[in-house]
Amino acid sequence: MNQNSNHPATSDHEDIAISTRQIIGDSPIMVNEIFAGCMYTAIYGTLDSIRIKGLSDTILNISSQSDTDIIIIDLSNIDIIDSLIASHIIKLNKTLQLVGVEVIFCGIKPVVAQSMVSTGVLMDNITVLKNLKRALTEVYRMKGYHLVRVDS
Amino acid sequence: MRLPDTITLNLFSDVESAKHVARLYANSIGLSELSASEVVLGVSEIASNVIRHAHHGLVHFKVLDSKRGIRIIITDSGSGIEDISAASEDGYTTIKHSLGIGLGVTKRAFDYFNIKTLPHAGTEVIVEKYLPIPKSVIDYGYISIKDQHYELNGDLVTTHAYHGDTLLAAVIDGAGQGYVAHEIAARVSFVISQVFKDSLANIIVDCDDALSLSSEDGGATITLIRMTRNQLEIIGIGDTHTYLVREGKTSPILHHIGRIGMDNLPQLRLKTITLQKGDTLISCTDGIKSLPSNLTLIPHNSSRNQAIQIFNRYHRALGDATALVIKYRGYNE
Repeated sequence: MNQNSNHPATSDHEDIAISTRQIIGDSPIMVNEIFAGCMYTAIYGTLDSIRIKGLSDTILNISSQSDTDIIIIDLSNIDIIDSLIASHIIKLNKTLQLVGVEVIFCGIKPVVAQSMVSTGVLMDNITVLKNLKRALTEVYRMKGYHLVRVDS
Repeated sequence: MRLPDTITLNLFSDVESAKHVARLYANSIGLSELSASEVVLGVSEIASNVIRHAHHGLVHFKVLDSKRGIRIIITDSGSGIEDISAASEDGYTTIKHSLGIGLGVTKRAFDYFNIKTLPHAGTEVIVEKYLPIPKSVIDYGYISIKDQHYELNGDLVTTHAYHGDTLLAAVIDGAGQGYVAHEIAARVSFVISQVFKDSLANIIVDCDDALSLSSEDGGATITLIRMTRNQLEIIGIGDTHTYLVREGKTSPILHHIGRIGMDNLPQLRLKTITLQKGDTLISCTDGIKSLPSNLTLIPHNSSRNQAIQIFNRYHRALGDATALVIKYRGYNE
C-alpha cells in the first residue's frame, strides 16, 4: 500500500474497535480459584471505569457465593498505572475489604513502579507482593499451610 | 513506518489509541523505557481528563526539529479550567472518582508543561519530553559554597537542559549573605524555571520585574547562558564574572554594570559566540577571584572537578562562592 494513502484515521478506527470490544466485555474477565478460599485474577489491557466495574462485580459475586476470603490480583500485564487506574485499584481494594475479602496485588513491573513514583501517582494502603509465587506463599501462610516435598 | 500525527478523542477507548501512539513516538526518538512510560502516563492523564470534562479533543504529536525530543499538544473544546493554579495542586478535583492529582502528575511526567485555557473556549496543553544532552556533547558541573558565617547560601546555579540539545544555565548571586540573599536567588531561579525557553533578555526582564515587586531589597547579579548546537548566548549583569577558555587562553566576557531588581535595568546586549569543539565556559560569583588569562586546569577532568579546582584555588575568604564550568565537546557529524 502507498504510504501516503495510509491515513491515520484508518488505524485509529481499528484501535477503537479493539478497545470497544474489550470495554463491552467481549474479552471476559477470568477469575479462578487457585487454592481453598483463594481466587486469582489478572488485569490486562485497557482498564477504565467500565471494565473495572465489571471486574469488581464479578469478584464480589464469586466471593459472596463461595467461601473466598482472599483474592490475588495480578497486575503484571499492565503497562501504565496513571492516577485514574490507581484510584480504581484503591476503590476495588476498599470494596473487597468491606465484604471481608483480603486483597493481594502482585506483579507490578519495575518501570511501572518507577514511573508512578517519579510522577507522584499514589497507591498507598494496599498489599503488594513481588510476584504470583510470593503471593501464593503468603496465602499458604495466611491459611496455615506450608509447602513441603512429598519425600521429605 | 509513518506514525499518525493526530488522534481524535471522543471515547474512553481513544485514550488507549493516544497512549499507544505516544509510546511509538517516545520509542522513535530513543527515549529510555522509564521516560517513555512517563510520556504514556502523562498522555493518559490529560486524555482521560479531556474525555471526562470536555468529551471531545485532539492529540497532536510532533518530533522536535532536533530529533531529540517530542512535543504533544492536546486541545479540547470544553469549558476550560477556571482556576489552573488550583487545578495543578494535588488534591483538586471536580470529579469524585478521580484522585485529583492528574495535572500535577502530568507536570512531573514531562520536561516541559504549559497549559492555556480560556473560559468557554477550551484548553490547550503543550508538553515536551527530551533526550538528555550526552556528556560527550555538553558536560557541565558546578560547585556553590556558602559563606561559613551564614546558614544559607545566597548563590544559586540553576540549569535547564531541553530540546535534547540546548542548555540554559544561570549563576545567580542574591545581594548580601544568608537568608535574604538565599530568598532572592531562589525567587530568580523560580522565575527562570517558568520562562526558561524565552529569549535571554526577556528572562532577565522577568526576573527584574519579580524582584522589583518582592519585599527583599538588594537585588541580584546574574549570568545567564544558553548553549545550543553550536552557539553560545550570554548576558551577564553585575559582578558575577564569566570566561571563555579557548585554545588555552582564558578571556573574560564583558558584563553589564548594575544588578537586577533595582528598577534600573541597563539596555541589554546579547553576546553571541560561535562555539568550537573544546571551548569551555566558566562563570563565577564574586566569592571567586578574577581568573587569570593563563588559567590551567587538569584537562581531562570532569567539569565538576574543574569547578572544584577553581574554587579551591581562587575563592575569597568571605562571601558565598560559586563556579560553574560548561565544556562544549561538540557533535561528530
